[in-house]
Amino acid sequence: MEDGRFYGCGIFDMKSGCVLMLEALRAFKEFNLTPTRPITILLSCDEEIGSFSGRPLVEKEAKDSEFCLVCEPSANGRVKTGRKGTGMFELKAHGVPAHAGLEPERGASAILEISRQIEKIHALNNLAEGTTANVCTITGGTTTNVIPEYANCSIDVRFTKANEAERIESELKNLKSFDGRVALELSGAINRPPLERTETVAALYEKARKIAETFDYELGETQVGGASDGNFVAALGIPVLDGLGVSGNGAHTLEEYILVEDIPLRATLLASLLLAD
Amino acid sequence: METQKLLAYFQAGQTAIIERIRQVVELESTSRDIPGNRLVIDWIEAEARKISEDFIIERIFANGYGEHFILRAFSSAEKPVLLLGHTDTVHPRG
Repeated sequence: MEDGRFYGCGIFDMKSGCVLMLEALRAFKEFNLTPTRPITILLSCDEEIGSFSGRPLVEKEAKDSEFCLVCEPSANGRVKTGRKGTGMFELKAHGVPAHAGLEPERGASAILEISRQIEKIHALNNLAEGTTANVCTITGGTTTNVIPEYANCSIDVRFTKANEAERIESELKNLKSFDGRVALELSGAINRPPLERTETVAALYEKARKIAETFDYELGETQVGGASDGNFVAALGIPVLDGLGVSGNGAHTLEEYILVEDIPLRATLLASLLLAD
Repeated sequence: METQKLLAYFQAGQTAIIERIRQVVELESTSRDIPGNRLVIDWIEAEARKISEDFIIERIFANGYGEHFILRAFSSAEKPVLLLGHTDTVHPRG
């Protein structure tokens, strides 16, 4: 704890958010309050790695819900009314190995192939539409004097519109090798749909903002590139307000922290949202 | 209930809330760390039970990941509000 910051791995993303939910329930018990609607708390255990197990559970609970509040980290205190969709792909190249000194012409380099494909992948970016495709890891080759037989790269895709996701996926699937002797294989998929700032999402934010005003708390909103399980809920047409966790910074780093003074403010906001009409 | 009263309550309880956050943060639970995740869910369930015995709690084992946690409270004919979160973190043990 230092200068009003409470440091800890996972504190911001999002263990303090989990505690916030319990604190709201504790307050209701203390004051014998009944919230306007039943409450379902769902804490998944694989959100950080894509929710492959948690997603069906999130969608099942979401379908029966009136609206959804996500206690994930805020962005400089702002709640999140929009999130990009995500995709995770891997492109593998399988070429022909050969001795780099004795007979390089007999080899077909998988590394050269992947590096040429990376330019094509990056050309798929459309920043005006909010679409990004980035090669974030690359591996390949065996040793310094052998034309590499295998190479692969991972591709991180983000988008704000569903048709852009389709475009990217289609383009990636249709990548053709520059060298006919190298085979390309694409794996992976679109992972999360975007959380779009619809009218109902905006209305939910407005409700939260007005509640915050009653205790002089300024609540801003923003749209971000990162995704959460809230994306799955929003895709079902259920209104979502995300980023309701305690303010802080450094998510996914060793400098992760929350702001202590924000704890009671966020708790009041969450509890009040659950008590409101 | 007036928001000011709730705020006063949470401010008065801030030290205790900080302590609870500290306890759950110290239970390391990176994604796919099943024993670590279980300890976090044990803690959350125990804390929930301290608040009320009436909550309906489900723990759903997810092979390779840990346990998903569901708590249901204040049931009625109305559609519920879904409070969403996750217990896994990106930080490996240590």
